[in-house]
Amino acid sequence: MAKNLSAKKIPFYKRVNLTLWIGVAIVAVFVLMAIVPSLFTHFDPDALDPTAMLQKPSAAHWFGTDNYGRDIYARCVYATKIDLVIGVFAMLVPMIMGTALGLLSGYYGGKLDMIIMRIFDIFMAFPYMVLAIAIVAVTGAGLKALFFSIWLVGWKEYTRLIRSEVLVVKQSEYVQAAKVLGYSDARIILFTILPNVFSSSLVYAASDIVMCMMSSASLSYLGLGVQPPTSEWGAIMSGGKTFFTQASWISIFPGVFLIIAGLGFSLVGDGLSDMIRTKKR
Amino acid sequence: MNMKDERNLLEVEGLCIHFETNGYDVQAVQDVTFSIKKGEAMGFVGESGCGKSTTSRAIIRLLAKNANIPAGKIIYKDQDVLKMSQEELRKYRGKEVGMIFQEPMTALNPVLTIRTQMYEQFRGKNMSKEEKEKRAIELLRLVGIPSPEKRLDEYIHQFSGGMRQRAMIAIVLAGEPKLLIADEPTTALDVTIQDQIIKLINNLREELDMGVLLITHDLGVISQVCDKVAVMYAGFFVEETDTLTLMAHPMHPYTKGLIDAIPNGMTEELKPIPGNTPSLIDLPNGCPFSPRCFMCEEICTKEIPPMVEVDPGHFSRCHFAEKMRGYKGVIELDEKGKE
Amino acid sequence: MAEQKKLVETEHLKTYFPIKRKILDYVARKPQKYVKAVDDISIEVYENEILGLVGESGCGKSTLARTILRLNDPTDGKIEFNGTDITHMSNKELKPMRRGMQMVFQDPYSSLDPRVTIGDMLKTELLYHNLCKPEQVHQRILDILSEVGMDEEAMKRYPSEFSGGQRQRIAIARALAVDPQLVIADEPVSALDVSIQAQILNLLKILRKEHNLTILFITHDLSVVRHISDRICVMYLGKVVELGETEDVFNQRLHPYTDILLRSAPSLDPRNRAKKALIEGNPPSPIDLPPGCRFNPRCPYATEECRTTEPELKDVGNKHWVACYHYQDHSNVKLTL
Repeated sequence: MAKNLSAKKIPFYKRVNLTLWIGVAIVAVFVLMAIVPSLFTHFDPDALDPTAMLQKPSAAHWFGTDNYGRDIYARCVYATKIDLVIGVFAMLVPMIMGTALGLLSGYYGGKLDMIIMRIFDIFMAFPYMVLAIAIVAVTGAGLKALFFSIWLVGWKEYTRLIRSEVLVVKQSEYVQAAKVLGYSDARIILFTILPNVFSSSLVYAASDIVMCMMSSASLSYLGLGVQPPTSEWGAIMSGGKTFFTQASWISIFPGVFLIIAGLGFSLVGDGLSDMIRTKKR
Repeated sequence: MNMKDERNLLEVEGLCIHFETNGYDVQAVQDVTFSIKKGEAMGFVGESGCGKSTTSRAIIRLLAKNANIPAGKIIYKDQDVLKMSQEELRKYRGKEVGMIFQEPMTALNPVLTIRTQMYEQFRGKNMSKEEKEKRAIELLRLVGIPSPEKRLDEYIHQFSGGMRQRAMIAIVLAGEPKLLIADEPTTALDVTIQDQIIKLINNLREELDMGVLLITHDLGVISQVCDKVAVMYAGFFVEETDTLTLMAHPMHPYTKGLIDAIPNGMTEELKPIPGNTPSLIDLPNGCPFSPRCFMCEEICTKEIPPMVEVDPGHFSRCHFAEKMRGYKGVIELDEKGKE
Repeated sequence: MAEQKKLVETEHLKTYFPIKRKILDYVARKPQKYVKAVDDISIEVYENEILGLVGESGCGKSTLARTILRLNDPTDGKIEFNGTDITHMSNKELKPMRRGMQMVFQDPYSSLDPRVTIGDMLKTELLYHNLCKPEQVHQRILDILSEVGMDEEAMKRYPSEFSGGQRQRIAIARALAVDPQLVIADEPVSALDVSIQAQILNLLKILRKEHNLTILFITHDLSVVRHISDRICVMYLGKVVELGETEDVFNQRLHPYTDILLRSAPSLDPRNRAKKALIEGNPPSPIDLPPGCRFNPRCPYATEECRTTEPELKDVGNKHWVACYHYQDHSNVKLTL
């Protein structure tokens, strides 16, 4: 019985994290579209063509044209940049703010925690759209309004998420060891606690990008966000609403782009969370 | 001696268990063979990762989804456990074989009362409500829980450490198992409570003529409960014999190493076993203990030693088991080996 | 014996944890209840000794250690470290003292930051406390690691790549790196396999000698503590019940609890099996303590005096302290097994 005892490795193809890679592939395509839109279409999104108005999707115009004769597919492609940028930027500020508040709240507890949590409760009370419309009333419609409303609402989830993770990590012996070593609170929060809770933020951020894109599309659809003639998926859909019965393609295709982009980011988020979960064990 | 012993409750032969983990196919248990008679107490002792828990879970078919059993037999009272259908398993688990775990808080359902969990064990038996209650109270009293009538309707978190273990034992006993598997039942308990639970298991075994399979890393607990013991290392049985002989004349260098490493207040120097337990992903060639063994020779690194009967009823998996004959264990027997 | 220098001294130290009160309790003016984890403890830890702190769960040994380190705030009493009163010092004031007292924790699987390599962890410590020049850091780390039996390879690895025993060695290295005077080891070997336990215990003994360390060794395992400690302190429900030189305590066992604790450990001899347990029941809840001696409900020698007044910790000769009215006569009364 002189067999070799070491374990056999399971073949690669059984182990790969499909969710993550498909998501990354989709996102990569969109990122490319944002950076080099001319790779994907030769049309100019703003070019008016009175001879080709409201045309059905065809070989010449893959997504058809709108009432100005603009190629919808080109508009969607060029809109990718704005939508991705909005998505990422709208997510970034709340993520940083929310994470910081969650760290402070969780680590110090006591009065600080109570104050932050009560502010949190106040913001929880407002339905998102109501808040957004109120902000638009103050700042006027446009990109500024879009960002402000998303930022004001987006930080809550991060704070709640990070705070509960901090409460758990705070009890770990390695955090106590850091205290025993005499490290300052700032050092402990930034270098010991943050790296250990940040992965949750990151995973949530992936799906938050999707939500931000959806919010921006909704607000633009309502006319509160991006203003024409800028191409943005929601704005394109909004532009097509008057023609919906004759030329539904104007509104449908940007929606499809939105859904696929959202799917891509969601898959990345799911894939990351799977990976982190199995790694933590 | 190939006489079929009528009283064998459980027979395990050549059991091998593999796990898929971290991208590897790991052999967690290899070629395990043993049997337990009615009313007999057997112990598995070994350190973390040796496969003792895995083997015990295989007996009750509680292995995780990523485990598979490529070879071996588990026979309970002439039934092939590995081939049992779901229906047969339901009759087997709880009623024939019961299991208690290290942590009662996670092993029992925290949102159900003790009464509910015990009554679950009575299903399939024709018992009236009064009979069930009477039996439940009797069982709680049997395991030493005071005021059992009141405690029947409490939840597990309302019991303290040792009482939780007793409650868990009572619930398992409600199924009237013939074999009790106890997986590290006292590891998380204080020493005075551990003492109580050990005595409880011994008394129950006698009263109910119940077989016991005790899994632990503590040789002291084994000595106090088990009639015979198997020492495990890296998934293999390395030594198997009755408890007294193991403590007096171990015939495997690992067993000897374990015994020597126990602080027992009699020796000045603690003699640890050098090195670390091997990772199951990267086992050495030949005998798994070879890198740490003081008797290691070339054959040890080439061939896995077979399990050999060095004395009647005493088995050792070592190429040089005979060399262990001079070594003393932790207790002294007089010349005639009298007890 | 020359008068040994005291490194740590506590005086009537108390650490109480308040129990959360419901609004109704507040309205009904019910008194605030506390878990009296450390209840009036006055002990001394001498330089260069290994003092074993023994007791079962809930006795307060971990809380005592944490209070000494100021991880918990004391409710009352005084803590002196190296002659300085650190009882009420703020975090800032404590910072320079922290180096002197370090801790090795129980669970090797959660006491190391999973995101930091061993090398980085040690480097941060050394540089934060200005223990050596940046050029010397690498060599210093190698020295520390080799002292605990680990090699250069370990520097680039993460804690998850090591076994339990190896992680404890790393935890010891972490404590040692700042060159402390006191190391509190809280159940450092309880989570380890027996063969590895022995390695770690031997290591601690060697390091104590080489670095002139003082070790406060907390454990519930009596055989372990006998091997490593010079003196033993037995705790029960927040109080010290016996304190003395290790062999004195093990041989004389003046307090009934010490006696029962020692005899409860399962014997390695299968011929030596008793039918009944030595002691029944559980320790009472630390919130609702019985009057008199805390051990009286479970003590086979309890008398009326025991049930009314708490015995004081008295020196009964040869630096052996015990808190019991019957320490002398109980040895004549045999416990029936």
